[in-house]
Amino acid sequence: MAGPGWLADTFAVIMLVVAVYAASRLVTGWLRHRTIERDVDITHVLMGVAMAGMFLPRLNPLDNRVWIVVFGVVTAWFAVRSAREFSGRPVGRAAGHCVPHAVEGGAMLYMLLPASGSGGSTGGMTSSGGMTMGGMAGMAGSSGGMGMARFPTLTLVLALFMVGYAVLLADRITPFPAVAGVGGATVRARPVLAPRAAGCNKIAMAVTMAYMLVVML
Amino acid sequence: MKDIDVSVAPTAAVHDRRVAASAGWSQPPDARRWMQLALGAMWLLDGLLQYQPFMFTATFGAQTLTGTAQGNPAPIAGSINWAAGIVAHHPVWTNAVFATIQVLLGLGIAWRPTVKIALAGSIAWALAVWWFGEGFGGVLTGTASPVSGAPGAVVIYALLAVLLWPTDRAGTTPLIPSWFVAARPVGAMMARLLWLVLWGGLAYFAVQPANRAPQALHDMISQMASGQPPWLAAIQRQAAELVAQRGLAASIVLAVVLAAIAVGVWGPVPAARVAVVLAGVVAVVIWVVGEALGGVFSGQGTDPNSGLLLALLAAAYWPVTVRTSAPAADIGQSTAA
Repeated sequence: MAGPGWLADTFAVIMLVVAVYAASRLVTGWLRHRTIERDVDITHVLMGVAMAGMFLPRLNPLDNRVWIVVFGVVTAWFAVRSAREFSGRPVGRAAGHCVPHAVEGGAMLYMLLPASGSGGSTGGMTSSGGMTMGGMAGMAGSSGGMGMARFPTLTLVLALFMVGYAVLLADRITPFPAVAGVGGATVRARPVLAPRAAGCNKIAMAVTMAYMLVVML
Repeated sequence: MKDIDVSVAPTAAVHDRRVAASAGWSQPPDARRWMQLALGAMWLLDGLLQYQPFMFTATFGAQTLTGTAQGNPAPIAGSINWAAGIVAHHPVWTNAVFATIQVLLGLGIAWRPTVKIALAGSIAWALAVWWFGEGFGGVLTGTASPVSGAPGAVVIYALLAVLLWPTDRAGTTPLIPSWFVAARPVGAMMARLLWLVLWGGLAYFAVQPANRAPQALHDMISQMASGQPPWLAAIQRQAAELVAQRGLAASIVLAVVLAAIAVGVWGPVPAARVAVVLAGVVAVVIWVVGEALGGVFSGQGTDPNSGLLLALLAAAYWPVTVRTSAPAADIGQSTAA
């Protein structure tokens, strides 16, 4: 059972916009010496391109196996950083800041890894013109539909995580305020480049990933 | 949820604000805000579930929606069939609208500047869906059961939107004994009345003839077990065996529990806490055993159903006693949404 093709097209476009914007942040941050979350923006470029390719196979520039390695590295990177945050609690950064990105990387791995019984398929086009990427039987135009998830419960947990993450991000989209220091002095934290836009980018990513996981159920 | 001690030292408050700022919050969420976010997350999830491929088919309107008309009075059934016919003939754009509205409601509730308009919109949308999408939850058909989602999950969204409205009615401050989140916008009396109507209604539905039959509960649970993950299906099968041929007794026990929950919040704080905890437990059991997590594993689930919402509602009624040595102004600041 396939959804409408325009829906996959729309999500693919959204993911490309996310990737392009993340890339622009990297360039702007470098040129103007502004504070950015470099590892997060790099990840969003990669995820945006990969997810656009999941929706529209013709946009996929890399083989599935390459993506698996890429997101394996991404997941490990943010997992290690998360562990360091919880153990070292660096000043000015809340512990757990990298956890959502580690989960996103893990979710990408989960969606990319071949499903059991798929004949070892690691990607390609289905006969109906839809796409397969690892464990996902297709987003649009294929005969995918119910029960594509290798582990349905894990899929649901990941989807709920993404939904919760998106909601928390939306709640936080306000400018950083001045923080009162000791003795009443005002200390203004140096803001990240365009924090609201960055937040919207993350929300778009989380919502789209949640949708992909829901469709796998 | 613990008692609140608002005698917070100034340096601790500054630290908390710095932590909140480093985490990205200009003002950290209080209990009500966390519940609003949970409600927003549920709307967002509903919207994403509505984007599933099955929802874009004519079958969704022709079968799923028209099924809710059965047993309702003729005028209501007619209106439901009319709406279902529109959806069945134009499944793609109607469902796209439905899904997008729900996604926007979820994100609107989550983003603080739009929380009020999103909550107001969610009430209107929920009531419309309750009518045309759920047939008023089957409450007029004689077959509504709390185990399967009565009185209709979507009306609980509307109830939560009212009880989590970001305003404080005069006189509802944490200084009042047995204060709870749901009392803030409507007052404790009205909040308790709404609770009584809801849970008392569920107790009534539990003992309706259709639900008292020897195999009624067993059949209801067994039917939901089909197609679920192995761990969930095993739980449901065990539960179904437990109530097999014991439909009458199980219904009476359930009704007594629900009635106790309904009246428990009117008692002293310890009794209210027991009632709220019991409500949470019952909600989770209903969600897992009776509703199979809303049927989300079937590819045709439109929402997580009522159990999760009832649990959130219970959290909003958790009575909090306040010990304070701080001025009232600081209390208001610390509990602002």
